[in-house]
Amino acid sequence: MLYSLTLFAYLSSFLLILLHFFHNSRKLYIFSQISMFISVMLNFLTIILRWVSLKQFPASTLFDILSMTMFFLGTGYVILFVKYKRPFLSLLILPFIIAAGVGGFLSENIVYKKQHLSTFWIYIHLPLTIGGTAFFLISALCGILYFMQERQLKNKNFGLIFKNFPPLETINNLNNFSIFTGFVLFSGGIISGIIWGLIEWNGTLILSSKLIFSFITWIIFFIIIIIKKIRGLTPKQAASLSIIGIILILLTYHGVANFLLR
Amino acid sequence: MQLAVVGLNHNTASVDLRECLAVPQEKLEQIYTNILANERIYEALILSTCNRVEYYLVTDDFLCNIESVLKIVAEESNIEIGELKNHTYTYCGKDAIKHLFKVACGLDSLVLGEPQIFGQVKDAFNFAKIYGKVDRFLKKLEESTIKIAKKVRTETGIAENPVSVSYAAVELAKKIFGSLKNKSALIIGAGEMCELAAKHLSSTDINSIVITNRTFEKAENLAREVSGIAKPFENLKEYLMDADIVISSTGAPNFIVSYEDVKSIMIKRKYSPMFFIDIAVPRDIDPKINEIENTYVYDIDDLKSVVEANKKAREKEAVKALQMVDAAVEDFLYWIKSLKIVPAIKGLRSYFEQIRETEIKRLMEKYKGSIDEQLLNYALTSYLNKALHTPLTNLKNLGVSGDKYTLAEAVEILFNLKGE
Repeated sequence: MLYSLTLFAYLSSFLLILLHFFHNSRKLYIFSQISMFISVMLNFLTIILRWVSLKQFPASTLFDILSMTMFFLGTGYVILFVKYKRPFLSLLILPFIIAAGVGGFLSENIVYKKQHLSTFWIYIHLPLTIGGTAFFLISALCGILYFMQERQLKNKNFGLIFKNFPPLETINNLNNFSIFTGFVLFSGGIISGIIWGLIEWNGTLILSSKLIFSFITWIIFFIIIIIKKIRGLTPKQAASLSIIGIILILLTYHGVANFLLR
Repeated sequence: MQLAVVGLNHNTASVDLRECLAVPQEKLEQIYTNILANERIYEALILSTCNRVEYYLVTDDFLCNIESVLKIVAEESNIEIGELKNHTYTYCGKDAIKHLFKVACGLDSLVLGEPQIFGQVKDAFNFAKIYGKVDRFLKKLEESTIKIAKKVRTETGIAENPVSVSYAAVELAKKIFGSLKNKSALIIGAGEMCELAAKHLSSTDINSIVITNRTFEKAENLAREVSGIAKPFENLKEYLMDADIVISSTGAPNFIVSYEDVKSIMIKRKYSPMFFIDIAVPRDIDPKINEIENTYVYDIDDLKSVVEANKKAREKEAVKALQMVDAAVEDFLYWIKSLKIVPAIKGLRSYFEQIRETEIKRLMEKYKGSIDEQLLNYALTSYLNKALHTPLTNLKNLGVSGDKYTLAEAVEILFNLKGE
């Protein structure tokens, strides 16, 4: 029930921001943001209540993973909104949140991990990895936003996208912030995963395909950040790399889940 | 009492006539005194800007009193009253209130949605308080005018999009760079268009403005005006390297900024974005530069299309604003109607209060010493308040509707006798 309510609140926020995009109404803007904040709170409450009812960290079903993904995407947006006040970013993030929410509905009973996840590290590793990935996804969405706005400026289209979407430099800043935050969280996820593997799995996890692929993903973003710092990337290159980065992450996850872990 | 307005604006009178009729601050006291000498004009407000001169009057006979104001204006400006009438408009009651609201919101301005008029309307009210007469009607009108003007500005996009070429150029730069805080601008030329753009830029938080011109003195003059730096024209390519925004408007017959120049500069700049605004005809900046990564070139036609798009956007927002103005006018009319009810409410209350006092006096004399006066007073006051609560509330709520009832119907409604 609470999960349905959360999904409904996210959906309402999306519809309101979509209407605001076309009608430019301050009331719609305010209500969409209130709805977004409420959604994130409800999402958090859903996870906590499920934790209480399961008496273990909710991470053993696909439903739980997707619920957590929704939460981190929502939280990521709220952080960026507080920092940059750019509401139309939610227009790109919310479809992913809603898709994850619908996916959660459809996969409520799919269990992907039968063993009891009681270790301390799962409380750190999983949220950090999902949080990092959520921020990488947001940075890729900022990349898409950059290309959309850049196209408007190059082609001199002064329509709704030009008017409503942020300036190019602001999008670049949003991208930088998301990529750095994602990298820090993801690094924490990788490190805690390694420690978890060493303690729980007697070191055998170190050579597991899952960890190797996660490490490859980490390396990709590490290289992006290093190039950015040392050589300097143009905003366009940064946008392209963050899109390529998230595609590689998704391919890695897909590959690990469907082929290597079978 | 009603509001009436007589005035002229950019649509009805030429700038010469508007100049003639404008009321400078030093003449306000005298004009207000002359207008308010008419006993049937209770309150007055003069709004005088470069685009309009309007006299708002609170009066009970608007036709006669507007005539008297026109005579004063004609005498003051030495213009024939007949000639004056050809250029003026008059509104009364609801239309006058709506007109003022529209003026304050910038809906009647030459540039739709321009923000300066709101400040001018506020100043006019302040001057009216000092030199003229502002009573209950104009006080409420001022409050409502400020409220609707603020509402229109915050809830519609009427003032959001720039409608002048130079302002649009600066706003476009903000669409690329966001804040101009750490950015540098290079202005090539020192003509009128460059001057306007430079002034708009200097009003932002831009880091530096470099001005270069074939005639160095002109560059120096403009640099002084906008707190910029003047540099000789010969080293133009050097300045391009450090500029994020380039605005050019010279009389050169060929391109002065070429594709090859910018291509090599962009490599050195590591493709850090550059925004070129070419306001010159023939053009100064090679349009092919727009093909280079992270460079954006806009010419005068592009800027004009931005301005046209913005004008259309403002017109669209004006429809929303007008709806808000209509609602505000209705609210104000409701307040005016409620004014008529106030004496009736006061009269009714004092009639019953008088009866209460007489009764207390009579009973105290009749039952001297055996009745507690305080208790009696308390009981009768409490009874009075309860008995009058329903009719007074109904009178306040329904009395402004203007509907006509028979006496019997009115009693039924006032005392809620049908129990609805």
